[in-house]
Amino acid sequence: MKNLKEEFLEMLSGYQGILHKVSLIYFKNKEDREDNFQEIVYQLWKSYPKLKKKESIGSWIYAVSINTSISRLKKNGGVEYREKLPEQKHETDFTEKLLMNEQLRMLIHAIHKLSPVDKSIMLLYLEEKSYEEISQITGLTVSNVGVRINRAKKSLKQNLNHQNHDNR
Amino acid sequence: MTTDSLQNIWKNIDSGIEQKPKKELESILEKKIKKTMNKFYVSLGISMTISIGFLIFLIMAAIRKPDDILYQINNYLLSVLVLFALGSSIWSWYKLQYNKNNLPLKEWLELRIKWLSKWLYNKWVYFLLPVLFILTFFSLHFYNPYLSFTEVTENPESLIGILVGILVGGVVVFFVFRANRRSHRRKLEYLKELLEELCEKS
Repeated sequence: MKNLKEEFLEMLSGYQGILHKVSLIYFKNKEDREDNFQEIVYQLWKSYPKLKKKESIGSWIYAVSINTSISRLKKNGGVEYREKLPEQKHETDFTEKLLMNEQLRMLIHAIHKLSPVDKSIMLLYLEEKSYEEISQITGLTVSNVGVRINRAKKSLKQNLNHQNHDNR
Repeated sequence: MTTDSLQNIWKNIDSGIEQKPKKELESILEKKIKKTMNKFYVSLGISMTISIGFLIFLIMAAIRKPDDILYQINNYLLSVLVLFALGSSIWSWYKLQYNKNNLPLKEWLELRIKWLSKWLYNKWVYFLLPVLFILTFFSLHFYNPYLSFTEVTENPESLIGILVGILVGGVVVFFVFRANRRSHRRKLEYLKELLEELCEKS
């Protein structure tokens, strides 16, 4: 019989993409993303024994990841991440490859400009989560989820338009 | 780029993410547990050492002056308050750490705000801190095995010492206390803003 830690690590291996994606939208800097990833792993481990419904693991991971990331942010405009210094500009983790995709790079940069709350809603929308699931993760009512998604999409579109305008 | 195509663009991210092997995840978890526990034990160790050391001083000093009832009351009362303050600070720290990160965002924000507000605006602190400070000051100032509590106050130099000491010490305690609370207050404001943003209607 597997012990709890092994069971947790096995589960985490399958779902770690969520942790990477949440860290990517909340933190620009590689070191901050890595720190955040580690913190989420620890927070997940702390609440894993209390996880009752094993079928809703995905929602639980999103909730813990988003809450942990937000708790690491500070008030200064909603962003705590260290601004990139010129010598740090060259990414060395997997994001380097991701950012080679022009459209994805633009999308990620546009998401970075959203508020912390809109970031979480936009992420769940992009991950094609149902309104019920988004409601479960954020605590919003199902009817309010639709409103919030539309508003976040509008802000995102504006950010993308600004980027397109700047690139011209 | 239309908003409808955003989900398709986002899908590219899954193929680009480098999955960490299970061994690496295990090492991350172990290091993080170790780091957190060390941090906890160091801060707990420092608080316990200072508190226990201070308690020993208070009791020993009181025993050395068996005839000075006022000094004994001062020290024993202070001992009880130190124990109470130590216990409540450990409890608050534990509650703040145990923040139920698995709750939905809205509930989690509400809980964090509740705990932080309770901790920040606890009226006991405003009573306890000056009392602790004055009793500590008295305990140190009247620590003279050859003179009683009342005899020390008869000396004019001692009275000046009490006034200057309370004034200077009070200012230091006030600024340390204010600096400590300022960062927590900023965090509380930030959490409240997030909750407001999350709950606002269209």
